[in-house]
Amino acid sequence: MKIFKPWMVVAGAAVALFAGCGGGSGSNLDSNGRPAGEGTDPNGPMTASFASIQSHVFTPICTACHAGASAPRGLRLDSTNSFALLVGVSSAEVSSLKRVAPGDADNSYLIQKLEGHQSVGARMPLGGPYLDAATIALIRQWINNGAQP
Amino acid sequence: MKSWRLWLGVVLTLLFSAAHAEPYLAIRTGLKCVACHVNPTGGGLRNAVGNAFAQNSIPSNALPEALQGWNGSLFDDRLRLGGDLRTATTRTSVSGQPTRSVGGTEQVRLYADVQLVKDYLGAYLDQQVAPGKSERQEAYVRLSTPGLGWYAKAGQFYLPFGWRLQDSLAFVRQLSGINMTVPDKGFELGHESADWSIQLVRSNGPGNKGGVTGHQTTAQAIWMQPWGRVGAAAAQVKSSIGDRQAWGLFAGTTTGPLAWLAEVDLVSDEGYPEGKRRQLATLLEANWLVQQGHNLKLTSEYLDPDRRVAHDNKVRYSLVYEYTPIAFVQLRAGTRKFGGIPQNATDNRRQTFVELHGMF
Repeated sequence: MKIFKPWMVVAGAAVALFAGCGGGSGSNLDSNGRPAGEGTDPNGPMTASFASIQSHVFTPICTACHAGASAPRGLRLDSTNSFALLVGVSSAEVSSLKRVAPGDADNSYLIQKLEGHQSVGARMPLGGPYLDAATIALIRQWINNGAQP
Repeated sequence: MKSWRLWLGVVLTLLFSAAHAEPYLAIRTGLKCVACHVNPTGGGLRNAVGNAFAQNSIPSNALPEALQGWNGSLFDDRLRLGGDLRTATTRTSVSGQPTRSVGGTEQVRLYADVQLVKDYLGAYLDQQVAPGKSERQEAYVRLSTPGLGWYAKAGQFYLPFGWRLQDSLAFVRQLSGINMTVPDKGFELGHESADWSIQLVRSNGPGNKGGVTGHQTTAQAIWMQPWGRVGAAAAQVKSSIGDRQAWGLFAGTTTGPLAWLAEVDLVSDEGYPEGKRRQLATLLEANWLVQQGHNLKLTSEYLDPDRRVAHDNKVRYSLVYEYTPIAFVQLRAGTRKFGGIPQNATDNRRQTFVELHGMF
């Protein structure tokens, strides 16, 4: 006679899988999960400035993959490298497009990736959730204003 | 096989074929990846055994008679064709924000494998044709001994590191940087025996692009036993922006109707502005074979994005039901709960999704 029925095994598995802890408490961290004071805290509304885009979008969302020595396509979007690797730099995927073409958001690879244009492959952030229209509009505004640092 | 069946098979293959392996199937059956896939490290195009397995052992219902017997090969198995279609609708809820739904085609891929010298020399292609512009994912030549005792690959391919999950956003795949969306160019040497599956790769490194120079060395060994399997993987990136080391331990076994997968990855990366960052990701997955064609997947994941920073960890729990009514189609529906620091609402989001996969 079997001691354990299949439903008991499955129930045990469910408990084992879901009894873990939740996310971190966030104590002494900014909302990007970095120690308070290390970078620009993204508290407050996002604006059409590079620093605000960095702290609201690039750091909390994009650097989940685009950071470190294995960043896809060598694109590191941490606060130290993102500007130099974005503005005026040709895209590795579509070399005819600049990742960010100052003054020309429509023809900036970054915008096309965020909006999911057919010509540039998978929409970012990969797997979503995608940025809302208001956030993309602010990035567009920053680019159309000249993409200043 | 009548010619119309052949062409029907070709058309269906081009429209629907499994792109990605799910390692729990290998654990459940005790088979190696190479038993069912053309690629020795799994995923992508299936071989004749894989096609037969997909038609007879996975779905809950038999194929229509007109399609039975198709095994994906042409010209005495010198040419093998495949493809993959995946669509999804995802609904995301973030506290304080409107709920958003996004749907559409996630990917369409075409595969081809040509045996230039049968059982010795082959060429493999994995081309993603949608969404967006056509993009090559894998393209390599493969030199092997009969039965794949030893093989070598040269070209562009996915690196071997841990469980080759179809969920490229799993923490272990995201942290390792090695998944089925990021191919690399290089050379792979592999060995397959009854108890071992071993790979050694020298490649450019996916982050070494533009002005960044360097290379990556990746190694993996899997020990196969009747009770399951245990694997270890290591990757070292030499890069002008800083070196990176990744280590992974992974294992799989079964208990009754459950197939278990586990993986622990550690990464040490000098490519961050503040210097070296150490990170940790874990995966625990249970797959319950409710009955043939019905699989319930429960996954628990943990990510520590910086070992030096306390209280910043993230979790991700998934409950996914997979229904395979016939060999060509799989429906997946599920929910994911993300957990992170309370200051970041997006890190605490919920997602529900429905996916349609074409399979052959």
